[in-house]
Amino acid sequence: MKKITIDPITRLEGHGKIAIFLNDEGDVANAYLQIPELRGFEKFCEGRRVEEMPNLTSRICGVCPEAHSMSSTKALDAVFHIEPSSAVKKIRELLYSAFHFADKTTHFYILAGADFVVGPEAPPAERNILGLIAKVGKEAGLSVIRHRLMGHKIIQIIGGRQVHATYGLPGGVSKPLTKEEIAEIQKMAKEMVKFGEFTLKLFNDIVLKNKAYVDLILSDTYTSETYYMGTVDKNNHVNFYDGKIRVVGPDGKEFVKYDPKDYQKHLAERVEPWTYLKFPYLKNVGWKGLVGGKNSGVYQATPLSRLNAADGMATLLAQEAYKTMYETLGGKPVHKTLATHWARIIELMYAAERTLELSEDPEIAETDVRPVPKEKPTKGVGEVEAPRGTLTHDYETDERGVVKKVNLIVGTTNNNAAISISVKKAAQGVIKKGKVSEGLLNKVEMAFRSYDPCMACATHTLPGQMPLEVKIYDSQMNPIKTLRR
Amino acid sequence: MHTLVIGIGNPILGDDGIGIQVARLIKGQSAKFKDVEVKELCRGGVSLMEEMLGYERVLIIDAINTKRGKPGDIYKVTPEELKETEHISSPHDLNFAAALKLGEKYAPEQMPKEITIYAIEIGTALTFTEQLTPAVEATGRKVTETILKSLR
Repeated sequence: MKKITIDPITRLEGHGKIAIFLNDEGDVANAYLQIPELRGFEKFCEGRRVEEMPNLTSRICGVCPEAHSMSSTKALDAVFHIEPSSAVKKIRELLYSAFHFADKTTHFYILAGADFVVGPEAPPAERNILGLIAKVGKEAGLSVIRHRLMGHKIIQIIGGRQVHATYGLPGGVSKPLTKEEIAEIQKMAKEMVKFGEFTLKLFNDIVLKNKAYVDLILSDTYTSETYYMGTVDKNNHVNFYDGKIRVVGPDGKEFVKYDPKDYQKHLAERVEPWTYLKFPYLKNVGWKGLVGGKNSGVYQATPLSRLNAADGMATLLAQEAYKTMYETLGGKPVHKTLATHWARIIELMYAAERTLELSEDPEIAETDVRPVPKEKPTKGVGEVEAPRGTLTHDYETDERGVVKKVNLIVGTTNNNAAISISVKKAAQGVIKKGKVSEGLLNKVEMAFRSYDPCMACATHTLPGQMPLEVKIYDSQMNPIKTLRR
Repeated sequence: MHTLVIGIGNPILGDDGIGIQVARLIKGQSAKFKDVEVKELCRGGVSLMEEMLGYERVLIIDAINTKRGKPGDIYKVTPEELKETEHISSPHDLNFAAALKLGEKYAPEQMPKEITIYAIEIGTALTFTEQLTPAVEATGRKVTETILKSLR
């Protein structure tokens, strides 16, 4: 057994990088973000029983297994042609709201806080939750950990396990909730709502009252005008679990609203020669390259996109916060990428309120939650809002329910083009006439981090560096500089 | 001593799942030992830290890529030996060192007194498969034996 100093590298360093191409003048011509490609998933699934898919897909990545298992469960409903009862939908949505709450709590306090509350110019050692909590106090720190755990506990109660919860059946869930479990969930949900209010207030006190931060949010560097996508309920309010997919243009007007199963009528995938990354875009607008604007089919699917694409939030406190955000930032739609962090905590508020609402709904006490499908399986699509964006699972089986084909569009994939555009813009701010100024890595990191991208690198980490490598090429495509942490 | 063995990894991403494999092997034998629990995890950062709270000793098995290692190599490290990094190592979570610091600051009485990490070198795991490569699997068995010995 070796006992030496290890020099770990992360998956992204090997295969993920940002490439920046300069023109003859030494200014940024193009910038692209490459992420590692996980291969062979479809092949891996072929020949398996489709009921295994919620379990399998939840292991694609350790960050949002619940999003995959929920999208997969809904795909099972479609494959087996069985409509879940209202009670089943609510039980699932209860689990799913708790998941969104926990995920957004993690992201805001552990990540976004680094950019915002502590600030991008702060020393790296402070730009994480430790620095954030140093600023807001130990009580707040313990509160974050406690409330995160509540979200996970609710998932465990409903799903049987905290991680890789197994609850999803075609048309059903694996077990009903007991009275005691419901009471326990309600108690936690009430605290979660208070925590949502605390978080919004914190953001207001530390970020919005600080002119420098507000200027940063409003700055041009982090501005990007594209189409925006999100799932909405029948009132055009944000819903994470179910609804129609609504897309609004850069002007904020509804462009299209469609049933998730029709996604292939509206989305196409662009393949570029320099990357295996696919770029989904709006078919009916067309591909005009990595550019924003009304004539380009590039769209975003992020918390901010969801709020832009909706007419409001379905719960009271979240709706108030939604109005405040748009009033502060000059109306709808908001094109400021950093405002995604604000949108995310508005969604945190909604997730908490929705958890409470559902926990108090008498229907979730229903005991008959495992229907038996009567029709033969064929094919179907399931869709949810993952924290990172609209997530679609599309399965085809034979008549025994054995998987033949699988297609997934994961949350971050929707944003591939938008991320590249944002990264380019950030780079343009820091590279002029061939000179790379301080903070390139920070600024570029900030640009893509607000998308909370899933780069398939985060299942587990020993300390490595932030998986970011930036390679700069001159106009002859010669690499002239490599920056990495 | 109240001991927790954690195997970390993605069980459907080839050698990335070696930690899980070792945890399963240990779990198969763990009934023999008093006060030993075994968990399989695929999360790092804060979630990993939270799992460790309340145990006196924690053993972690995980996969690793290093600049000079070859698949099948094994490293035994303590948190103090891990290279401290100032930057977050993932877009979604804290790196391990920072997560430990977080635990020590805010729940010091619950943090384990002893943390040992067995890191098994793997090649790049980018393809979905439940198969392990022979060198990595062999090291996994060796680590299992070592850990079982230390638990006796």
